[in-house]
Amino acid sequence: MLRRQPMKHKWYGYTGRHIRIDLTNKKIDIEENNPEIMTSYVGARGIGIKYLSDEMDPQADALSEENKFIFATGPLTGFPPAGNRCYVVTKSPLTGGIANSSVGGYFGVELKLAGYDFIIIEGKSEKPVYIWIDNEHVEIRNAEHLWGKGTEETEKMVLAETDSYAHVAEIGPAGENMARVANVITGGVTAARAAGRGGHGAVLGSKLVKAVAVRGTRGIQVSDPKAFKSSYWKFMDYWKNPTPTCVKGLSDHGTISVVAWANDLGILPTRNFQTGVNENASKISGELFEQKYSIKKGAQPGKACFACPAACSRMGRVDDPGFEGASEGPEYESVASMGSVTGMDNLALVMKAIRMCNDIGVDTISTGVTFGCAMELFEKGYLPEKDAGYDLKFGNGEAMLDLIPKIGRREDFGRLLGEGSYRLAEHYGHPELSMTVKKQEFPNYDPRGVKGQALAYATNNRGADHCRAEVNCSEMFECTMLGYWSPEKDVDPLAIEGKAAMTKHYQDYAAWAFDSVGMCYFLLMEALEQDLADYLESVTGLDFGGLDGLMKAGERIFTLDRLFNLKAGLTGKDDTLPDRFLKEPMPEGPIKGQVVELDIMLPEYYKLRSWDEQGVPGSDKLQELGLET
Amino acid sequence: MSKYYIDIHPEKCTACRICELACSLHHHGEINPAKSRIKVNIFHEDFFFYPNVCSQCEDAWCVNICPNAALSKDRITGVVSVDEARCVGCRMCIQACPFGAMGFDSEKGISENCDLCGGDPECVKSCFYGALEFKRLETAVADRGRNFAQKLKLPHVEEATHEA
Repeated sequence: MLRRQPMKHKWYGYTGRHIRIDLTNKKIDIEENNPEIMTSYVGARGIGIKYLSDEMDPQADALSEENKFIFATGPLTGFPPAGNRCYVVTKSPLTGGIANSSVGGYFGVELKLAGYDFIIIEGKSEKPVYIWIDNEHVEIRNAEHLWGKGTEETEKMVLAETDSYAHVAEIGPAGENMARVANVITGGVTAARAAGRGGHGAVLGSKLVKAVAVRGTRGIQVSDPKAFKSSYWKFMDYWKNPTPTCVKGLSDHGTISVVAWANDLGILPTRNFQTGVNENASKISGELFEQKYSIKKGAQPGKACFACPAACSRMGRVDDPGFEGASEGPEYESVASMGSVTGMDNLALVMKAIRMCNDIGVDTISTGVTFGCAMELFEKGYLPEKDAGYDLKFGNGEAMLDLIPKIGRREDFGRLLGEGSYRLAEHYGHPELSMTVKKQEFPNYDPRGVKGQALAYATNNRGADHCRAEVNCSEMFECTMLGYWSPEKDVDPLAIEGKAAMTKHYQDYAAWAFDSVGMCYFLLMEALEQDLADYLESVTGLDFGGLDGLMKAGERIFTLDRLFNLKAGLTGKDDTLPDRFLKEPMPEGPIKGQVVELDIMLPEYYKLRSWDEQGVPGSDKLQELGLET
Repeated sequence: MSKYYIDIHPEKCTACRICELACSLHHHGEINPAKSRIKVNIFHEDFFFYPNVCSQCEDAWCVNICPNAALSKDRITGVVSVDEARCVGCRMCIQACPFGAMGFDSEKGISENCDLCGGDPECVKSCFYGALEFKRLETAVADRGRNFAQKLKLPHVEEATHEA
């Protein structure tokens, strides 16, 4: 049969190729991208779910050989402003559904500079390995000498063996031992950036992949450099003249400043979400950090990821006895989880705990919330002291510091902690004390005070999570994103009217814009949708169908995630929140008495999505999105 | 005509490397830090970031060492430039420059150096926090003195007020 040769496509923004690494057969293939898939799924998260759902059985065990692991960049990874994201996509050992997580720093950019848009890792190695990508040269290397090492040491050793200007993504002991809260780290502890949520580290660990190191010197092409330059400056002006409030806040104070902000709103999760008001907030706050531990004094930009104007990362040094150390960070989610959910009152201790988490390679959100869960189980008498090994009351920081390395080694009580809070609470017969959706721990905005975000928590495909629909940005922070908030038009965080539409819109927008083009959403929060769509088309020279086409792509990506979950065995029943948020009124503070009226919002949301009452997408919708099977 | 140069303030650098991106885009039409003539040196452990670029020396090591007179300093603009036709790619200028500021274009096989983008440097325009400034030499020198003097001003005034 005569087959038409596919036309060689010239790629801009994208590099046009990807690597497939078959660990079982030690086979490495460089494959060309399919232009049609790229325009339908944009990149990063979209490409990840497309390849995953095409190539694997969603019912396969996440920690089995059948699971695949994808590192994927977007077409704007490498581009200003803040085009630095790399996505990791796999089936989650924590939720049993789709897991996608994004990491900043320089790793994703380096991968593109080496000439690849994404890497698909499949099968399972016989012995520990790491992958070394040096432009055209791709190699599977022995990593037996790295096995068991923390992320900081792994990073240093891999750089020494490969190229001092390479960038490395690695797992710590927690990933090797397949703790379900294990993550993927780039930059070691000193410059830690994490693809945190969903247990990606455990999947790499199950495949015996310790690290991926990349060095790239080949460049990313732009369709029309002259035209690009003018659209680039137009886009950049958005952040410079004048810098929007959100970006200025991030730049001057970092995300850790949100501790005080969330506490003032009464939604700072405290002692396993029992309340949203923390009397010790000032002891773990951004103000205290700036006074005592910040290397740069006062309000100043910190350290940036590639091409980012916000530079939100802080740089902290602790000299307090027992907690000495220096690293980038801390950021809000880590401090709130490891500090407020656990009832700590010592920022130096919390910063040490975060550094330790980064070294063993566990997600600080899941780990902190799991500690919070264990502490509540302990205080309520459900978790015996002989099991915990410690007097595990809220605020027992010494016990937490002792237990973190045990999560990595999966020793004693650390083994259960590494399973995440749902499995821990279930083990002791009280799953209602696990603050999770789809078995993934909540990030740190109490849903009772941000109702739109509450609906997003319940319906996001990767479980409780704030990044796949940042409704709270408009509810809390006066972000102009998507036009929902403006100085004239406030968004009432406690209202439920219109929140279903808002959540759907944010989820679809996030799916293509925040998660698939490869730029950091902290910057995109203040951009206009149309500007981003124009920018994307001018860089790539591809026709995505304009903003309408891209919003459709977003809905397609979100729905494909949903289909993956449904095939994996999750159902509409999993679109819910713990009873604490549905039935226990907030006991105190500005939102005293609030619960989440999910029973009103959820049916409205399903209807907007054209899903049936069980949360299954209708065939008309699937046909419209080109997802019919 | 006054001489201009790129004045570097490492304390303001956030290591975002957007200058590398802007430089490679301008000179090579692609995003490629490996082809940038300005390079951000990142010392994570010390939280120190230094964007390194040619300072257009008066009596330049690179110009002096070049065996084929491919490098020259423009008497009017002060820019040290590479004559592509004369450069043989011997890399001696790279060895000679004590600051490691000389670059090399592997594809063409010749040295390349910052040309201040003809008087409107892209790296400076792209820098968000003023870590790079394009300044008349005399102004740069005066500003540095003035910035130092500024630091003396406040305590001095406070002290005087206190005494009164």
